[in-house]
Amino acid sequence: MEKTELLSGTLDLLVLRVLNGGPLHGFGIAERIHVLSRDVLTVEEGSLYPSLYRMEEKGWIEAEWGQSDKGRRAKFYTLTKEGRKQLANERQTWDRVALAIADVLRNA
Amino acid sequence: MKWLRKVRFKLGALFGRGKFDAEMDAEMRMHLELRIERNISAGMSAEEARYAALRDFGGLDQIKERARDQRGGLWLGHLIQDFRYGLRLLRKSPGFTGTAVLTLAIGIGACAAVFSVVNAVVLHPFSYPNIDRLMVVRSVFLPTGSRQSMATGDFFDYRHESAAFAELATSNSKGTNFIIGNEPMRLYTEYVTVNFFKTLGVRPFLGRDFRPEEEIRGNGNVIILGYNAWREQFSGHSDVIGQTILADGSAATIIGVMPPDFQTFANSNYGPALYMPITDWGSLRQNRGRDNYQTIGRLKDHVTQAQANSELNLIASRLAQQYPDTNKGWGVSIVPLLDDMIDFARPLLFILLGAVGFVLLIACANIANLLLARAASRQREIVVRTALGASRGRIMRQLLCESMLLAAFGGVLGVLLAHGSTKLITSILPSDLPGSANVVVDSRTLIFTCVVVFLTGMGCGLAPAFQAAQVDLNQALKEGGRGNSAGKKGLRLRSLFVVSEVSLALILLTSAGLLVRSFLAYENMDRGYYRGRDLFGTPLALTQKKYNVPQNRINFSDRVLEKLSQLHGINSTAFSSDSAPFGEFAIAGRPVAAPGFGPPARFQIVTPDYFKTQGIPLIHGRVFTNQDAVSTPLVMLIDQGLAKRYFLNENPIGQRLKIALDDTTPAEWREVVGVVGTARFNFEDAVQDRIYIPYRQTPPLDSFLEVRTTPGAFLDLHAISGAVHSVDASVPLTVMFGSGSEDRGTPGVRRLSMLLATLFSGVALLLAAIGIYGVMAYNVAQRTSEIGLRMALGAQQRDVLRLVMTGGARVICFGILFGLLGALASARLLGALLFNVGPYDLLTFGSITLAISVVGFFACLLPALRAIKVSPMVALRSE
Repeated sequence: MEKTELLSGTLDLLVLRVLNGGPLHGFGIAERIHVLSRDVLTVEEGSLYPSLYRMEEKGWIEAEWGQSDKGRRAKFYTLTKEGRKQLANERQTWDRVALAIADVLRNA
Repeated sequence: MKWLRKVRFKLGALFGRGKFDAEMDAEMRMHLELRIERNISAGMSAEEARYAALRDFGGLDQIKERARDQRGGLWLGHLIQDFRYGLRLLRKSPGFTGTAVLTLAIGIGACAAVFSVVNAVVLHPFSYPNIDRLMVVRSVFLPTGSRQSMATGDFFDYRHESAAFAELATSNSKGTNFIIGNEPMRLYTEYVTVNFFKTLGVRPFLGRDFRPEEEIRGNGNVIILGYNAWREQFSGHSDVIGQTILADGSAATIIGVMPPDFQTFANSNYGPALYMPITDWGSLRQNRGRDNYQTIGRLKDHVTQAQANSELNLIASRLAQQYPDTNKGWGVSIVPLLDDMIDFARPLLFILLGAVGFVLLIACANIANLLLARAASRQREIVVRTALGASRGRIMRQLLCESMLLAAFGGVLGVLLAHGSTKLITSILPSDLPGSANVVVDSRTLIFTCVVVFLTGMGCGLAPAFQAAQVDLNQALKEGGRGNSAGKKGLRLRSLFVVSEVSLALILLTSAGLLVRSFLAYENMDRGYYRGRDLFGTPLALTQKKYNVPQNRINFSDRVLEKLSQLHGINSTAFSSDSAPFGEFAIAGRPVAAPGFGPPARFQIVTPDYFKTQGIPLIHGRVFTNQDAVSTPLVMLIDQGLAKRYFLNENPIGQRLKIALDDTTPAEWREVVGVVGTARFNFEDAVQDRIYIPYRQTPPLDSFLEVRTTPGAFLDLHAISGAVHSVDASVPLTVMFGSGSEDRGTPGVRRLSMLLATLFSGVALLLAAIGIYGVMAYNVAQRTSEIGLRMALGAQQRDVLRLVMTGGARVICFGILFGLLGALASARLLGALLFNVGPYDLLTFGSITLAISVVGFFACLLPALRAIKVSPMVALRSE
């Protein structure tokens, strides 16, 4: 399976978006992104956890220990109100940039 | 609630470190397990699944470390961790730690000590409030710009008319005879205007200040004690207020005691001081002659120095019209008190700062070298830490923490050293340097030291840390942590440090050498008078009422000289006037300049044997005899300098000169009966020409008794005072060693700068030698195997010696080259303090270069000798 590197700066956006659907643990987040991107994007743990801790420190997400579906203790991350705001912002930015890039690619 | 969570988060990061790590661990482990499970469900075997998961996951510890770094507030935790780790490491190698801390303590301690001096002398010599408003006011002779004390008459007018100054005060100091209890003693007294303390902004801490009416004679004779006089003469009892003592024969009531830190700006080298109001304004306000009054003023708020200057000069020009005889051509100069006082000490302080700065730099270079060597031998540890995920910044921070710790310990020890040495410093500072008594390690010094410590820690740690953090992981792991590649780079850096150490030491040593040479030149200069160790003297003041009759003074001196001549071991004795004030003279038959413009000379009153006692030779004519008395023609002797200047083509003997000894006596014509050699009692004095006047014609009240013993004779100092007291027991004495005409001020500064520069350059040389030795020794240790190989292949000991020595020689040569360039530049800066020595003195430069070469040679030789003793087998095995 070919791995596609994430564009820099987009990991936070993806994580926030995924968490918008409900609490998830680290592995779950990585899996979700992988699946939602139809196996194109692979999140490396070496980037994921620093990103999670950074966002937790900024207050965009909250962490809580809970039970996973298989009864294991896991750390679940939840989006905060601030995180939601951040997600909206980043999404807007992303849409604008993506549109702009698409325009350039189409018209150049 | 947001901030609350944030705070909790940060505190958790800082203190809940263990918990955080455990949770992170659990989280990662679960992540890994989930991955394995997924791999298994994708059809892998358990073993395969685990392996794939681990491979995909990447370096677990590196991820953890990066994740940790994302947590804010952690830097503090890291810092604490780094410091703890650094402490542990330093404790593990006490030899290294001890050397480094001691070296830094010397450097930092010297800096702290010198700063405490600069702090006391330059920044805060006096405790006067708003000191920047205090101005020294002097008369200035406009055609030449020469500044002199202000005439009391002028002062009176300025004080009366000036609007720029809130207060204008003047003072004059002289010895006064006191009888305290029943004991006669002579104490230094300052006669001041009653607003003197008010001008300075200082109040007595016991009793009260002077009152305006106490400036008028007859309104009660009052006195204020200096703190030291109070402690020493009155044992510090607070009931002294209201007590009466006898001052020059009349009763004076003690009304106050000045606080301990009070020091006047006037000369304070006479010991404990007392203060009395000037009361004889009746005559003083008529006096337009410039004598020893120091005038000081406090500017009103919002008045600038320039405004005050133009105002006083306006008054001066009016006075010049009113009193053309005395005031024509005279203006006023205003200088801030601080600038006025420390001017002469400035070069000294610059030398001091420069010297300690150099010592500290050399110490830093040494420590940097030590740290570089350590970093090289610790490369394995650093490689491992990097492999475990430590970033380059983290490694640098760790190493900097260690150098910071070293600097901090050095700083603590240095402050203790500085504190211990303040007494020593105080004792060698010129005593007439204001503030020199207040040299202490205070909070300001501590703050300064903290800054120095920080800079030192950074300065000696940055280069080694940077060097060490430049680790190429793969390369280093391949080399098995022996670190030869980084060692080579480090060696270049270390050589650079040694080059700078050698040049710094050379600069410091040549500067010290030049100062020593000028000091010796000054000391050994022929000054035209005898300066042996068998000269004793004491100031004598005749202030009892009966001595107001001149004949009684003559009788006193006659009888003292007679008594002394009966003592065993006396060569000759003489009286002279205690001071040699300068004044102008006129020469008969030559055009008279306006008053105040005549040629200047110093006047000294002496008894006949003065010249024999002082060793001043007679050139022409005769010296005084006891026949030169009141009843005989008025005579004088002149010195050779004056004779040459004014009677070059004439016979000076028989010439007539008119002089006035002071403002209160009229000018008289005197005939020159002889010419004596020039005696330079104070070399810095602008007026060197001297006129001598016979004691019997004008016996002074304040005199100096000089006694020269026969060579080898042992003279009891008590015998001298015994002889004087057998004539009059009420005359106070301070018999001391040496002549009364010793010089103060700049010579003291010169002596001190020489002493300290020599001391610091000695330390610098030692540190530089250690530095060279350290680098060479390390170099040899690094190359042990190479040397062994060379010897195994047939190299002779001579070849190995040459190999090691040339490396060292190159470094030292570069150091000397740069050092000489720097030394030439710094010698020019020293210029003003040099005496009879050119700034480019070949002897100094040559001998210092030689000395450094020799020291450097031996610092290289020792490791080189060790290198050739290396047995090839041992060396090869050390690989």
